Amino acid sequence: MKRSRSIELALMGTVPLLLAACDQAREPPRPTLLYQSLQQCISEGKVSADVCRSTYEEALQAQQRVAPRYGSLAECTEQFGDNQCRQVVQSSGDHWFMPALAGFLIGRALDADRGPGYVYGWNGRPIYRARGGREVWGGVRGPQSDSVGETLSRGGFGYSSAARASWGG
Amino acid sequence: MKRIVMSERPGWREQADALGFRFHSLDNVPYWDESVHYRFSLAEIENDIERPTEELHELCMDLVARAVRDEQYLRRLGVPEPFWDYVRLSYLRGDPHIYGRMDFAYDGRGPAKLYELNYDTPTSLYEAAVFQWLWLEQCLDLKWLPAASDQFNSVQEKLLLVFATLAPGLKHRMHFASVRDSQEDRATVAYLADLAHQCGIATHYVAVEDIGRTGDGHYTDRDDRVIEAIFKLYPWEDLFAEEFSHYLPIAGANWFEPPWKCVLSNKGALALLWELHPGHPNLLPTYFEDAPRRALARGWVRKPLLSREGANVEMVTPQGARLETPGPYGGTRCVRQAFHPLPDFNGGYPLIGSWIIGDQAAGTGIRESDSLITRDTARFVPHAVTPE
Repeated sequence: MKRSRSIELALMGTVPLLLAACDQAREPPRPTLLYQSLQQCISEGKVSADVCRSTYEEALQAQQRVAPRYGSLAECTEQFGDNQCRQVVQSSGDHWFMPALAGFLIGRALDADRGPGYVYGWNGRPIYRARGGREVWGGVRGPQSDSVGETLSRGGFGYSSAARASWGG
Repeated sequence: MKRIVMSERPGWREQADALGFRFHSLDNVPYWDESVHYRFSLAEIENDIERPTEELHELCMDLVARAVRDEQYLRRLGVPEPFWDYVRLSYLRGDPHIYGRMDFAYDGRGPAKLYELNYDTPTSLYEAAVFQWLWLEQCLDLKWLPAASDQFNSVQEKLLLVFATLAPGLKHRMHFASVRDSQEDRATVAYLADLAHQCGIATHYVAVEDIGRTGDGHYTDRDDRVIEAIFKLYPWEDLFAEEFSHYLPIAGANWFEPPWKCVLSNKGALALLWELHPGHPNLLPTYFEDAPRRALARGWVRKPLLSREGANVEMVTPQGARLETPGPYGGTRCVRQAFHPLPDFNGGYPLIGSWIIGDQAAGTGIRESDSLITRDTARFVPHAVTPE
C-alpha cells in the first residue's frame, strides 16, 4: 500500500480526530521502523541485522538519558501500569523510577561524527508503552526547568518581505 | 495518468472547518478543489515520481556538500558572505532537516522534469498529508472510487518519524514560528506542532515579528523563554537580510529547516545541478542569467533566484508566445530554464509536488492551474493510484 493506514490529529481542529483506513482496526499511527524486540527487527529484514543490533544497543544506552523519570513507584505505575516500572539507583545515591523498555525506534539522521561530508547513520531510540497502549518515545515531556532570558528588543525579524498571503512556496 | 471530474463529498467544507483546515477557500475563491482529481498507475508513481525524487534528493545533498567546501557555489547562489561560515558549520554538524518538496512537470509518459525545489519553506503540506488522505478514504466508503484505489501518501507518518528522532535531542521545547498575519502559514505550523506534540515535544508558537533577543544574543519568545529549537515558516534569505541575523551565529538555536537548506531553496541550485549533471533525464537545462537584461529568446523561462509561487516569471514559448506574471522580485538576479510545458489535461495544467521527508519520498500533492505558470491561485487537487 502506498498510503498510511491511519492518521491522528489531536490539537489542530476543534474536534480531536482519529482517522483510520476503513476496514482497518483503529490504531495509532506507527512509524515504519518501530520494533518490540531486537529479534523482530532482524526477522523483518527492513534494515540489516547489524543496524538492528547497533540501534538496539544505542536505544538501551539512551534510556539513562531519555527515559521518563519519577520520584515514586506510584507515580510511574500510574502512567505505565502495574509491574511496568523499576527502580534505578546510582552509586551517588540518586534514585528514581522508570518504565520498562517496550521497544525501540530506528531513525535516520545526518551523522557528522562518522566523517566529513554527507553520511547517513541510523539512530535508535527507546520506546515505552503507557497505560492504554500509547507509545511514549522517551525524551523530555515538558519543560523541566525554564530557561528564560531578559529580552532587550523585539521585531528584528519579519519585516523585510513585501506583503504576501504566505511565506512558503 | 488521467484527469477525472467527479462529485464533491457532501459536507466537506464543514468537515474541513472542524479540522482546522480553514484556508480551503481564499476570499471565496476555491483553493482545495475535489471536483477534479488525477489518477495514476502504481508503475507511474513508483518509476516516474518516487524513484526520481529520491535520486534527485541525493544529487541535492551532494550539491550542498560541494557548496560548503567551495565558496564559488555560495557566491553564485547569492548567499550573503557573512553567513558562509554559519551555513558551512550547520552542514558539517549534520543539522537535521525535516522536509522539502520538488515540483515536476509530468504527463504519464516520459520522465518527470524538475521545475523547482522548495526545500526551505514548502507549503501545501496539510492538504497533501491529511486532507487528501481523508478524501480518498471517504470516497472509498462512498464507493465512488474503484475498491483497490490507493494514494501515494505517507507524509504524516514520515513526519512523525522525524519528530520522534528529534525529540530526545531537545533540551526543553520546540518553538513554531510563522508570520503573524498569514492564516495559512499559522495553520501549517499548527499542524506540524500537533505532530511534534504527539512525539512528546513541548511546543510553543511565536510570531516571527515577536522574536526578541537577550543581551548575550539568544532569541526569545513573547514570554521571554529562550528559543533553543525553532521551526520557521519563513525563508532564510529574509532572515539573513534582517537586523536580528546578527545574532544567528551565537544564539545557539537549532533551526528547522537548518541553515544549509538555503543552498537548495534558491533557483540557482537548478543551474548548479544542471552544470554537475548535464543531460540528466529529470533535469531541465538551466543557467544563471548574469548578462545584463536582454530579450528572452524563444523556448526559455526566466525566473528570479528567490521568487516563490510563480511570481515574476517570464516565459517565451518556442512559438514566440509570451507570458509574464507580476510580483515583488523584479530586477533581481535570475536563472533561465529551458521551456518544457506543463501538460494540458482538458484545460487543467497539473504541477506534481513530490515530498521528501527525512530523506525519503513520502507522497504527492498536485496543484492545478489554468495556465502554464503555476501561481498562488492554483488549486490543490487530490489524486488516487488506481489499478490499470
